[in-house]
Amino acid sequence: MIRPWCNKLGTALLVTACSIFLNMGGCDLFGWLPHPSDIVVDPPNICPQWDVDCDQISNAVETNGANAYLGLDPQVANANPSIAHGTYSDGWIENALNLPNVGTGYSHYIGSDTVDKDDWGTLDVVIMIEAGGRDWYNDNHPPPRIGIGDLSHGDATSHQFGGQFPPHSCHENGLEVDIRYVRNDGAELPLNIAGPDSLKYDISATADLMNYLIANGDVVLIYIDTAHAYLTDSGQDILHHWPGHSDHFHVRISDPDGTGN
Amino acid sequence: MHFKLTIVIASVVIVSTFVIALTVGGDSLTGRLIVKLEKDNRLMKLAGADGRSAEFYVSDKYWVHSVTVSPHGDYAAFIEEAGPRYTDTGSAAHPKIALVVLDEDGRIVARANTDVKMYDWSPDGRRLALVTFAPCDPDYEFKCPTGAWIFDIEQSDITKITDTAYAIRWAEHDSLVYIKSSDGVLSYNPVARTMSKTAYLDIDFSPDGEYYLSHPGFERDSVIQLYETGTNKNVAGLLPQDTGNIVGWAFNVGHFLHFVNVVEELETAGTGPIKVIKGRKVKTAVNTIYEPGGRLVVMTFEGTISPWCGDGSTLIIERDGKLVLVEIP
Repeated sequence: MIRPWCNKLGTALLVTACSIFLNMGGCDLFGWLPHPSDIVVDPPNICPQWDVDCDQISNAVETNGANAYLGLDPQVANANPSIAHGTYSDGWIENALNLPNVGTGYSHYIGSDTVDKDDWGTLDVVIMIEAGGRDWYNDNHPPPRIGIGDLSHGDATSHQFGGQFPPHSCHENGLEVDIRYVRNDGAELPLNIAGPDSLKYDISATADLMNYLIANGDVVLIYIDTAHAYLTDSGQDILHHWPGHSDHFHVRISDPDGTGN
Repeated sequence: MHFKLTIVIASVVIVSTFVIALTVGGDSLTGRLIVKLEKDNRLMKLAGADGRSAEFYVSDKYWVHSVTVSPHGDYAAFIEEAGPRYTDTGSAAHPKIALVVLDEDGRIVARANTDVKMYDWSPDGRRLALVTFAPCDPDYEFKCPTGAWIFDIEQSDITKITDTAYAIRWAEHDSLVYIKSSDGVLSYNPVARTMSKTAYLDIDFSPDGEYYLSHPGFERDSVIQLYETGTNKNVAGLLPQDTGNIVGWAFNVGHFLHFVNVVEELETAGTGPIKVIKGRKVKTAVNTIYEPGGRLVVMTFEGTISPWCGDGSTLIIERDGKLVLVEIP
């Protein structure tokens, strides 16, 4: 996976060096050239605006009140605190991260749960959602924003994260998220692609959205309603049919530190 | 044991703007109600062995779905939703949902105005077991179960039997109502009006009750399992390999499993691993009828599963634009 800010490192260094070169009269290529020891270069800020300490935990996540218990500092690089334990259907999360309810290109719909009870995950799933949202926004996708549903259950007060999350059978260890199919009318509302509402289903945008998620996370499967989604994974064994997935699709990423814990 | 695959070519008739060529097996259509739902909420009825079909019922509501025919072919039922669940302006609209029952002539004989999510016929075709859901939150989908009920068609009487139910099945072999609940699988005796907890893991019993299928839980990454009802033992090892996906129990008698293996040719668009399907063509669709007790492939035949639905005594398959009825004598 290539993080977009990695490409910016080379560009930033080149621009900085050129700028200094020009300021010192370097336009005359045959004139005076500074001795390398005369050049003082401030370290370029290679961190993206949304993650100023470059620790891959976004500023929004680090300043999210629900995550205060972790003591994350947006100015200081923090290690990934989250660990997925057990399995998708029998597991829990250590030091889960709460997804900010709104971010670039996405919005979390609360659904049937109370605020900050249904949106806890590992850093990897949070990164996938946030980066997918930025890609969605940067590629000029029109509204709606990506509709993010349930991640894993959690309680910031008791610090209990993951575990059983009815009516889900999975969603237990912070590696899964439910997302709405994309509507073509811009409304940030549910969409059931199996009924008459399917006229409002934007198939192409939904395919784009899934590809953004795959580009930003180690997606191992996506549950969809294959009869109505009109999507294929070209034999890559990512898309699977599951009843009950006509009003959202379900994305699962691999366990970043393996399944042994 | 003998099985018959009946394919008899009959006449071609024009229905609406398209042509159906119908093949039926002699008298197999006599007295049977076979219906199909069109996209504009029209129910069509297969009208005779010569292939005629006729408009059966037209709904002026927003969405008709979950059409079935009763076990003896006396009634058809469907779920009707009065409006969209959500409006374009952002405010949720709670649709009026009903379970509607029609007689053979398309007349409404019973209607249960309730948030029905799924239902199943009693073996005698006179009652329905159903589960209801309601939105837990006005902005979200129907997630919260609100009860399981028995609906008596002839009495137009509906009775609640439990508060929390996710799925329901009225078993043919013992006439008990099986309910998937948060407390496991329950059985309800509609005569004694008693509820019991069972050790079963699921409710998809074969018509003769010898076996049941256990479908993986919501979002669980596992496969369908087969259990022997008497011992409650997993006998998935009896299932054949390379026969495609399980469709379900094939007929309303015995314990014949229907598998279908479909190979499609897709026309796709887009870049990236996920692509949009612009067109699909079925190259081959091989059906297998299998009897797990004897590990016996009873028959194989080609064809896709038809949108026409009947009383369950036959399979209705489409092949080369024609209907094929597959029967057990």
